[in-house]
Amino acid sequence: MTAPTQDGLLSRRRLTLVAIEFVVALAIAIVLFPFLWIFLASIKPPELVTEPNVWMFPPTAANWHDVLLESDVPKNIINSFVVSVATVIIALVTGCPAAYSFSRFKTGSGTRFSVLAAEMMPPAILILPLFLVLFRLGLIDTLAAVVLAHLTFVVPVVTWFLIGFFDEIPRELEEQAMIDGYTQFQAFYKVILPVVRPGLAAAAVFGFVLSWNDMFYALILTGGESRTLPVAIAGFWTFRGIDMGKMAVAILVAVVPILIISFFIQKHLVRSLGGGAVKF
Amino acid sequence: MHLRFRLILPLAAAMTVIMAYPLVFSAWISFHDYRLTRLQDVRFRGVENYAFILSDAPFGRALVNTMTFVAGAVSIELVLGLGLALLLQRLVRFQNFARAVLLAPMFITPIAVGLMFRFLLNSELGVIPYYLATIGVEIAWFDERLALFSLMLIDAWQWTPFMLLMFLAGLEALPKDPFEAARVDGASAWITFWNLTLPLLRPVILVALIIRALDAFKVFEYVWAITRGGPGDATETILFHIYKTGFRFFRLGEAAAMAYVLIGILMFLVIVLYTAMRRR
Amino acid sequence: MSGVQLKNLRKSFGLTEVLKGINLTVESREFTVLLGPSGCGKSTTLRMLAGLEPVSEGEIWIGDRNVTDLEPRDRNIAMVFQNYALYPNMTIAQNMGFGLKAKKMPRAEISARVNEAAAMLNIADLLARRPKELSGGQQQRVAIGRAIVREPNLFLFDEPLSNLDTKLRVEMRTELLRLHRSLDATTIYVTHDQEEAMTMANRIVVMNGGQIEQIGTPSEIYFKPNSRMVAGFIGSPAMNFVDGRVGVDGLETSIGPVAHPTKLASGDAVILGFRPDDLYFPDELTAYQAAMSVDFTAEFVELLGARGIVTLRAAGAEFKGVFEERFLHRFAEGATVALALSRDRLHLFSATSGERVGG
Ligand SMILES: Nc1ncnc2c1ncn2[C@@H]1O[C@H](COP(=O)(O)OP(=O)(O)O)[C@@H](O)[C@H]1O
Ligand SMILES: [Mg+2]
Repeated sequence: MTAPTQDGLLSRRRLTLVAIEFVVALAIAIVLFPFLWIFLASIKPPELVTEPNVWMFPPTAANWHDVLLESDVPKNIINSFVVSVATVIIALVTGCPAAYSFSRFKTGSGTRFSVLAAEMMPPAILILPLFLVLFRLGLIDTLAAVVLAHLTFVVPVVTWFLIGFFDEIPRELEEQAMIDGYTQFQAFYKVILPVVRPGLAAAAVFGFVLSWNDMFYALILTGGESRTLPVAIAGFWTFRGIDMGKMAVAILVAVVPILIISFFIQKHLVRSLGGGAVKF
Repeated sequence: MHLRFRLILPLAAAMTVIMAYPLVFSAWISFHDYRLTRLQDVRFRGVENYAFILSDAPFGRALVNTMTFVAGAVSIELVLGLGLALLLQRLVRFQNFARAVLLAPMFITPIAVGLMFRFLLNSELGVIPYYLATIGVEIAWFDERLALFSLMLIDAWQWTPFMLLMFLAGLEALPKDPFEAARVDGASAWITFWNLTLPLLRPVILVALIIRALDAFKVFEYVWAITRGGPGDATETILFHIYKTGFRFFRLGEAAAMAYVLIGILMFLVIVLYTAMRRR
Repeated sequence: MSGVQLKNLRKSFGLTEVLKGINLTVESREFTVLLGPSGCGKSTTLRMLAGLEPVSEGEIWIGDRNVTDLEPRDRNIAMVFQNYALYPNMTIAQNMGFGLKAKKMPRAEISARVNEAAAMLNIADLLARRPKELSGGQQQRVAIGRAIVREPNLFLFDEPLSNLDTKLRVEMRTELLRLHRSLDATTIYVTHDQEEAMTMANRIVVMNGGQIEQIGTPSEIYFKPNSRMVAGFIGSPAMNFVDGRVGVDGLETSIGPVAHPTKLASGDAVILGFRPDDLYFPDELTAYQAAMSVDFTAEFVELLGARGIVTLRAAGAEFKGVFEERFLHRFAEGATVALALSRDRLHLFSATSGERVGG
């Protein structure tokens, strides 16, 4: 008597679920397809790269060999890596104490907002004077120049993130440490910093990704010696058939490590946004 | 000095060097006839640069292009992001996997995204137009009419994940009780969405909108990778226009003035959205 | 161990004054409870004592030291927070020894003290764990243990039991008292739970709206409340109140005349209070003891076990009475019951100032 309706309900629920799964699967396919195609392009023989309907072919490692062993790309990778790491370290050293101060001393939402506003500052306005100053200092085409430029957006983002993480730590924790006989600064680095370590790691990784991905500043500030990976990738764009395969390799080299890293910080991103940006 | 200020000191120093100083310097530049080719002969021009660009048709066109781009791209991302977040939340299997994949695009370098899609959508070598043609759909993605729209779609591919991330965080932070009460009251999914989910998510939506819109104003890489502003000036965006003025034509004075006009527009936008957010 | 003195202590957050001049002397080894409704400034007082909140005005003395401007670490106090504030990244042993490490105490001595305190609190087998592997009650013990090992001049507790379930709370209450007795430590304990205050305190300080309403032993507070606020706050069910006026020879109240001599001028508005426990059947009191007799209408009865709470009505107002179970059958719904008030169990407050004016 009640069985049929329950069955009906059950199957309707299952139907909804199947529909949801179908839509999500479609979205996943749309996200993954470009990567798949680029990967195929990277192992296609040169004469087939321009053929959009070729799916089966004898794979070749020629592009990978050329790009990784006989081009500037390895140097570009090292440049990008050095820039990103240096940027993140400086961002953490300057942003972390400040974020703690903003969070603890209840600096109003105005300050927090200005940190966010700094991140939103259009690069167009900063690049002109940065370029001129670095030009005068003879720092154009050096990694230091790129680091300096990247700090303009990595520092605010890292600070913003960390404010959220510090906000989540109950105030009593450091008060307890202060009663236990420590100064507030000691409480900060002996108690709070260890507790917030996962957040620091997530913020560092996110800052790294931002710096690694930038092309605008690097395009203007770098030359042959200091070229970073994104600028180098843009250099493959001549779009003659031959370079397509190599470009595909360079893209994959730039993208795959970041994708792997991103899987590890996603959880923290959701949390830190949940705690910080979302509430603010 | 109070610890509160000592902790902020490193950040304040860094921000002075990399942001405050450049901002002041570019303000100064914007009032001068400042050309990279004539550095020994910099002349004061008062507000002439501003007067010029406000009557400058290409700048106006870039402004309109950018605003169209921002409005279009961000709306698409908002709708898709919210939809996907709601679907993901109801997914029973593979939830973590689906989230990880769907968030991936936002972590990769935009220049790579631009080049991938240039390759995928190219009317001769692109796989997408090829298969569309086999079912009788002929679309020239990068012609005068469609190019800007194509760039919006590419932007949506990369940045819908950001909206998704924000909404997943927001949904996770929502209180559970009202939804359980609604279920007990027998409210349909549709009613629950319009009367509970959406109003409760409002602050998150606004923050996500602000961040995404401001970021979209900086669009550069896709233009650089694919259209270089063309065909004609169909995809000339503000940042690209400023880049051209400053670093192709070396007219830094005008470029700086444009950057300040851009800041003015962004500030206006932020204030409007910020007040909309504060007023619950 | 040392006593504590608060001298005209004031605190403002911005423009709002939340403490309006607190004067309090706590004797050495005393267990003092700060009691009051939430938001009355108890935590703020305690945090100022700990040095966590700067003092706006006034002085704080611990022993013979003026600590008003000292950092928390220089006050030699221990505090137990409501949410325990255990360091999540440290083991229990590290948590308890962290304060001793700050004093640069040798490792061996730290671990000896930690072990001793852990044994005292029955948490010796938890020392290697981390806080999140402990139940709420266990975390509570660790927080107390962490305070004990420091051997401070003064223990501060801010609602330490309010996150525990009722049964555990009662157990911990006894344990804290036992601990206090064996340590003989000066303790200031904040709570909004009057039962906790009544059972634990040597002296209770009732606070309200940033001021001290009354300081006294639990029985003074219960039997001689200084003000209407204290009278209404202490005791459960709460004291019954009726408005009245001083008449020629006694009081005129809405439930009838009361034979009760006062020093007040005739015509003054007063509030008469009597506890639910202080309603008697007329034959229980002598003619002299009985101040008045009232015909109440019984509404309903809530049985608590050996006793029950009766809701009564007279002159349109509602009253509560507490009676032994064997009398409850007299209070059938709608029944009229004559009950008397005892002369020595009346409380009289000024209707204007709320101060006690007799009883
Ligand atoms: N940091 C603060 N800033 C502003 N007001 C505060 C702050 N801390 C407490 N207050 C206010 O002071 C009053 C007393 O608070 P508190 O001492 O925590 O009360 P209690 O512990 O008695 O519940 C409350 O009205 C509270 O809102
Ligand atoms: Mg409190």
